[in-house]
Amino acid sequence: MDAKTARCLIDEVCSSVPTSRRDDRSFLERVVRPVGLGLLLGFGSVGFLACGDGNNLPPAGDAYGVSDIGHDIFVPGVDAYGLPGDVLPPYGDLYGVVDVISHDVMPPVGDAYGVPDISPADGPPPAVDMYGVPDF
Amino acid sequence: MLKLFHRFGIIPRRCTWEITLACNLRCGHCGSRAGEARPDELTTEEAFQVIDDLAALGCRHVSLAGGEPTLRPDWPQLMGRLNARGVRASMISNGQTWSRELTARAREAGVHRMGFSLDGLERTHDCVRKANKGYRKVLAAIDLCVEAGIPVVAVTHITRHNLSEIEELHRLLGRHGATVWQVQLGVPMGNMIEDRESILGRDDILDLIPRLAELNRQGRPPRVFAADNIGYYGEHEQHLRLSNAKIPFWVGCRAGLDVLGIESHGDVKGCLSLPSVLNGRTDFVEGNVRQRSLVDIWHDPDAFAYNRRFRPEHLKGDCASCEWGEICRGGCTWTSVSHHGHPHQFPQCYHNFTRAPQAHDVDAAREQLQSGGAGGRSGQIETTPVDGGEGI
Repeated sequence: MDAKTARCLIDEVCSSVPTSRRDDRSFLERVVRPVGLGLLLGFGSVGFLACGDGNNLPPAGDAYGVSDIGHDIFVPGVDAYGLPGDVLPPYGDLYGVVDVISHDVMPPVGDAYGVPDISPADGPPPAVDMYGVPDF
Repeated sequence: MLKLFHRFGIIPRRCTWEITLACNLRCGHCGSRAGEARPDELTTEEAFQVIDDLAALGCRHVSLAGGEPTLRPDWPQLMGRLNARGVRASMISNGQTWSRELTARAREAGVHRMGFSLDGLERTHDCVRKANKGYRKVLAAIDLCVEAGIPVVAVTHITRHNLSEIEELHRLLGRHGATVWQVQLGVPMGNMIEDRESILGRDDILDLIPRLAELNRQGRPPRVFAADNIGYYGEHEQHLRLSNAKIPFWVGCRAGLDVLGIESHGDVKGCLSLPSVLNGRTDFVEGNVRQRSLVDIWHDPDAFAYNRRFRPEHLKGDCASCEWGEICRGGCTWTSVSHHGHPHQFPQCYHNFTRAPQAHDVDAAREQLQSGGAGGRSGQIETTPVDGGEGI
């Protein structure tokens, strides 16, 4: 598939979505707060509910055109987005908050690349294998 | 092509949540240099409020990550709260202390899927993870979950250390019952900066992509899932992603569009992998849940601008002249930023390598890294943009 065809496909998928899609506001923002405000101001909740698009159900397809939660019947083992689930690696962040270069816990000797990352006080590293790790 | 996301709603459908930075390993590729818990991690009550806000925003999947998430004692409570709010909860663990008891607790808490990191065959894994018998512990953890009926996803960082072991790893995971194998490229961030030589270059990418696609073509489990920094396009694309989706190709980074990342002390980013500090700036941190609610942060019109306000003229390097640029938006933001210091310039693109096999961003980036332009040991990224770009 070339990029031009891909654009057409995206256009097609977008156009196939019913007009009343969820927008980028949450249920809290779109309904709960307006209702509360409406009551407060004496307008009643009905009018404010009517201000919404009336469609709070999840869409039948997600951004990738894959069926949505509750309809994710396409491929066993993956979620509605075609992803393997919500499991991402523990990359975390980078923040400079914790510097673990001290290797104060593990490993006791030698890092993965054969560089002894221990302090001199720890004494010399034992024999390491071809990967630089102690040969367990 | 942001209209695709706008059409379906800018909703944080998926969230990766670092519930603690504490970790019992010191992996060679750890981007966060995890080890000790942050001194100011969210309390259980604060975490519950985050969960409630996630549910209100329409989030459907949360992955509890770390650090090592099982080192936070209240992880079953968080998982239970998520489920009670209608949000699927998964968890990614290094498996080092996994046990039958933890398996039972995870199941009782309603875990949707368990992810375990496996970065190679025995010697490679234990080397990268610096873990004595780490490989065997991960396989034992997988076995326990499979036995308990919990779907397992294995996660592998691909580097030159394990590039030759791909097929054998796939067979191994298949024998142990993993459902999905998520693979992603090692990126020069955190500890990986000190092992930049193992980051895949052009020839490695051209070798890797067809091999991953072939595993899926063969159809044997586990299904290989290429994470967001593997691709993009070309003849193998649909086999790297969901081939029977209506849109079976990469549609760009989803950080701040339908993905969200939360750090253990409440900082919010579009993607957990993005650097919190980059050259002394905190551009990717959109706020902290202790100062503003997650709902307010997500709806901030100025937040996540690198994606929500993307325009094709933001593309840099080889991506600027790519016909896929408008759709791709320059690939994985995390990878782009880690290599170049700015988004919208993916350095390891299969399509780019096949269309112009000469000088490439990844090679230039590697030279830049080798010359000492990036990375420190403090956990912050210090990057000199390869092309002198203006950054984000």
